[in-house]
Amino acid sequence: MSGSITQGGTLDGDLELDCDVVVVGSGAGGMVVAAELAEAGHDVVILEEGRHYTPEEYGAMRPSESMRHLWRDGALTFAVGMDDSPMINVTMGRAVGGSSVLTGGVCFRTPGYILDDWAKRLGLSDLTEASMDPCFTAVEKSVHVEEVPVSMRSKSTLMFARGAEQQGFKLKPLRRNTKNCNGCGRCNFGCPHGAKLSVDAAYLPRALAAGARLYSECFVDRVTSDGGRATGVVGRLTRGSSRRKTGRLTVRARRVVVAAGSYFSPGILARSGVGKQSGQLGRNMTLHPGFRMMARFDERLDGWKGALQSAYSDEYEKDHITMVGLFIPPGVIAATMKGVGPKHLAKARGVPHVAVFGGMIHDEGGGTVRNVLGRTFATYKMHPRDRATMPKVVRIMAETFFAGGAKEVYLPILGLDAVTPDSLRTLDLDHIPAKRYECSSQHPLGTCRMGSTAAHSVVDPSGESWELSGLFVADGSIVPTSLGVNPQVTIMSMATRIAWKMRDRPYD
Amino acid sequence: MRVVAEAVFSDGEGPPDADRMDWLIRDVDDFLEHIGDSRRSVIGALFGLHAVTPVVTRSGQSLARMSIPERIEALTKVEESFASGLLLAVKALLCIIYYEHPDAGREIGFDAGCLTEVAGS
Repeated sequence: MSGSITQGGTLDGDLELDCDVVVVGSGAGGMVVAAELAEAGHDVVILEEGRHYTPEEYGAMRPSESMRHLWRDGALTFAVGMDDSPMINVTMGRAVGGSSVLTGGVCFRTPGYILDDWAKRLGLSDLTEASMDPCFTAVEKSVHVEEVPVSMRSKSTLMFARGAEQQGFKLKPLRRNTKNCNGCGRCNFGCPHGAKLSVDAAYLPRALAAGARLYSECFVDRVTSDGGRATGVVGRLTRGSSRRKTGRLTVRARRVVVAAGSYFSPGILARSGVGKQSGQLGRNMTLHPGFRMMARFDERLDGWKGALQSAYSDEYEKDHITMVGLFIPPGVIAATMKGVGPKHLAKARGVPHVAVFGGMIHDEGGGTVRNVLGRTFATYKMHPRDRATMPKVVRIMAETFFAGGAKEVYLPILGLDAVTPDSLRTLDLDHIPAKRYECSSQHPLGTCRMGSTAAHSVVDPSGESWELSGLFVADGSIVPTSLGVNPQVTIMSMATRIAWKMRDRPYD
Repeated sequence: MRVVAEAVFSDGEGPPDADRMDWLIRDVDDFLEHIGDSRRSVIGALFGLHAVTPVVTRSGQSLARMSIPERIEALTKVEESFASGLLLAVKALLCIIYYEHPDAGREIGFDAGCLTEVAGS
């Protein structure tokens, strides 16, 4: 049995399909469920809003081409900061493979203390380290999780590591879903060598081999139901960059899995009249608000050479801070340095001497997504504890770079020029308004959270809606709290667990 | 967009060569065509930048009517002002694409391995 990939934009007229399970979204959650269920003999249809690009196609794109074709809305999606909260650039994928195509490949299991917290506070007592271990193991095997050797660290990362040692802590090696990576440093624009095993590379071939049918450029409007049971989805086929509607989409299915991510799954449920009873739909969004720190060294670093993400530090975990190595395109580095004309060019010529590291806050949440005039609108009201952590993470990273020999650092603060060690000491970071902090997130979680009671959550511990039988959610939106670590393995493992439970349950 | 780009990437003598500017503006247009709702945000930032510049410089003169040295001076003042975010938004998009041009990348010492292998003008 062999499946198929159909670009929805190539179809004329309406599309009607019948299947056992329709999966809405082909990212880290949806694609895993689709592959697991297809291999168990279910007739699976996968619907994806974005287009399908092969690794050869997206590997041939320049970063800005990747941003316009693979990233949602050109990577210009924001959560609006409420009160004294920063405006947060929340980036997501919009293509087959979803955001997994755009990660740096960082893989962490869900920390044990997080699972303990879920059990104690949220009653999710089935999600223990022991019970999740087979799911973690299956995912790690499928996507080939391996440790990044020290030899692949970029000079940018080595500079931060040098500073960390001076400050009394050591960086730890990251684990990533890669095989035969040569460290060309552009994972987050789509791996050009097929070395990063994002779900389109690791799970899609399995799903297709087991007979799954994938349709791209399909926008799902809502879930249909009859007699308290999900019966399928309806939506529209779209074509091209204008996303013009070309036909109606109707899929009849015995079960529906919504996996459109934390920004869009709540909207599909809301338009279907599902999930509102708890009052939690679209709420509880956590983001891991992140801050980049750039530092200029005397020596030439060419920080783009080496693994994009190779090392991290949990030294400040007690302060709810995780620091992770990264790099950003030289054009972005140049843009964030002050200057126009000759002053800009002089700074841009210094880009080969710039190192970059990132820090993210293990946040308490405070995000909400809702539909406003037919569009998804996100807000984020930062918890006071996290607001107090913002200057702390910036100062720690700056001091670490200075300890490593940096001559000046570029803080993620709008309108601020390069800072020297002396000027950092006198800078009152605590009183800089949150709106001036440049903040980004790649980890929106929690808007359809899983829980043990219908009163406090949107889906039950099996991922099934409390309100509509046969409707499941399997993406980052069900992760009930922030994790403090990159979430892709958690999402894939929770999706695996949901798929296995669906597989073992007979159809009604 | 070109009015801003010519100033941002000017060496003080004049704008970068016309072919490179043409390539940049064509590619920016293509970018904007593909980014859905964000197109309005970028256009809004550009419009806002043009609108605030005469206010910030207190000259009353629009960016488009200024010489390149005047534009550099005006945008430098905007960068120091309450409206710095507008310039950053436009400058970020311009820089991301501009430095993907192999010649522009080379000029700042950017030899990005697989990034430049796939880049083309």
